[in-house]
Amino acid sequence: MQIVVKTNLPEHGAEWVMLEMQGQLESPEDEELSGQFIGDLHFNKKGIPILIIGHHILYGKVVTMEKPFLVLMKKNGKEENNDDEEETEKMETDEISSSSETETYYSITAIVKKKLIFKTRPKPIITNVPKRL
Amino acid sequence: MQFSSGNLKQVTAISVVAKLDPNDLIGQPQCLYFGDSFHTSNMKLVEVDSSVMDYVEEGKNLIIRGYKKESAVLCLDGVTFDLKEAQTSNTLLLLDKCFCSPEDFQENETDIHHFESSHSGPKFTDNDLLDVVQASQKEIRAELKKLRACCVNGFWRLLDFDYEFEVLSQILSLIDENSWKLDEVPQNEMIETLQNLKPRFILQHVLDCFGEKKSEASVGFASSSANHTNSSHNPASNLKQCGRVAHNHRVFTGLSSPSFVTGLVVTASILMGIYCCSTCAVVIIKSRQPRSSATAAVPHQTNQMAAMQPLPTSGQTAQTAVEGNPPTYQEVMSSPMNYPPPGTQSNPAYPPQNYPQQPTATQPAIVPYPTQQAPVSLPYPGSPKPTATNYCPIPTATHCCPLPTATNYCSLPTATP
Repeated sequence: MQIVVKTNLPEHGAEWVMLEMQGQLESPEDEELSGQFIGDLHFNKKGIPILIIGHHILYGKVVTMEKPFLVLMKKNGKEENNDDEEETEKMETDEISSSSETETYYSITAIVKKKLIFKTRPKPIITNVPKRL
Repeated sequence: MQFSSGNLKQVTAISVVAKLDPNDLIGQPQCLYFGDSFHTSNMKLVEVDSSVMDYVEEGKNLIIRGYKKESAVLCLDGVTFDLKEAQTSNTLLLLDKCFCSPEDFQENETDIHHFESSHSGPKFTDNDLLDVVQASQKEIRAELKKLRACCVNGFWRLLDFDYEFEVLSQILSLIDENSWKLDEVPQNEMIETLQNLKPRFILQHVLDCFGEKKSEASVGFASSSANHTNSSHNPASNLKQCGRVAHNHRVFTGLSSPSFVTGLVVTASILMGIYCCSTCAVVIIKSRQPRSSATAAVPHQTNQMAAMQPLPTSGQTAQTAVEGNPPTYQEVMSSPMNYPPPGTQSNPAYPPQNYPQQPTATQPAIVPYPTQQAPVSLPYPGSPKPTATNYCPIPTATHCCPLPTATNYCSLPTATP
């Protein structure tokens, strides 16, 4: 069984940047995340990325990945509910078997060579420093 | 992931509250949002090494092969990789547009904006062009290349004449300074040096337009700029011409020079087909082929009048020939240039001479002018017709020193006893 991974890189904007941070991002009201604001990304003169999310501030680093990433999007197959990332090669072989009925293929839409990695613990932003009496 | 500009004031306020020094920050703050359609279910990230990346960047496809009970493998043309799924507890976010280096910021902030501010009119991306232009993709690309269009942020733009000239002259002066050979210019070094003056991608674009890639690191300028100047065996002057061309063409067409005939409207079409020497400061963009290969082969220094007609040699025909001549010649004559004297045409067999020629001992001291009765041999077709009043007066006995006659010689001493 074969699945084609078609290279479909646009002329421009083919290179994406990855942002890696520890922990999970959660919405305060536990609502859906799509379309929601995350935070502000700044850069200082030394090239350090600074992320402000909510009342936390994170300092990171721009890293060129030794092993870059390809971003693959599954196309045209049956919309199977194998969202579980815990499924290992099984998922792929499942898809392979289904490709005999429908043309499942993957499309490389982007490549990632750089990532902004935030490894340090987020610092809380304190707006009101109480004065010592 | 989506980007949106957000409210700059708010963002700046937040950064200040977070005790970030605004002077320490570069570029614009970028607001991050989760994407509207959240399809991580259909997305896979594959970690690859550089060989696979190069393969993909060339546009080639990969294949995943395997059966249910086997583990999947990733196949390239001649190599196979094992595929394994990996887990991470970190959050990975993908940003499709992100400025993340000082260079990215610089490229967007510098003089591009200065020239951008005067731009008006629609901008076209690749797809827009394909929508609008009724031509094949290759033809569109070839045309864009001819126009030296540059792709900036996805939009095809023509560089402003002055700007392009500025970039080119900076490149040329750097080549001069470093005494680099024109046919082997170290590309990376040049971009590194000039990147503070101009954005890198502009430098790269100009180098690509005017130069040929000789090797990974170097660019040659040997013959590629010939389409802008007359062809020359000397690439250095050729490229310098390019710069001077741009400058002088502008000057030439933009001003009405006092050395031109009054009332003359100066346009490039006047000088089409004429190749001029570099020291005369104007080189016209060639718009048609020379009439004969002989004229094209003449060395650089020679003035050529490619379209010059043979001089009239007999009587009245000369007059009519004058009438029939296109106005081109009249205007040309008025410009401050040296022309070969009448009767001499550029002959590749003879070395170029300096004009006008100084009289030599072999030439008569007084050049006899034709009289009115004799057939009029015009110095140039189109010059004002010679009449008795505007020729130098024909030397006659009354004007010259009186010829010695027996009466006005000193009398010879006669023998007196």
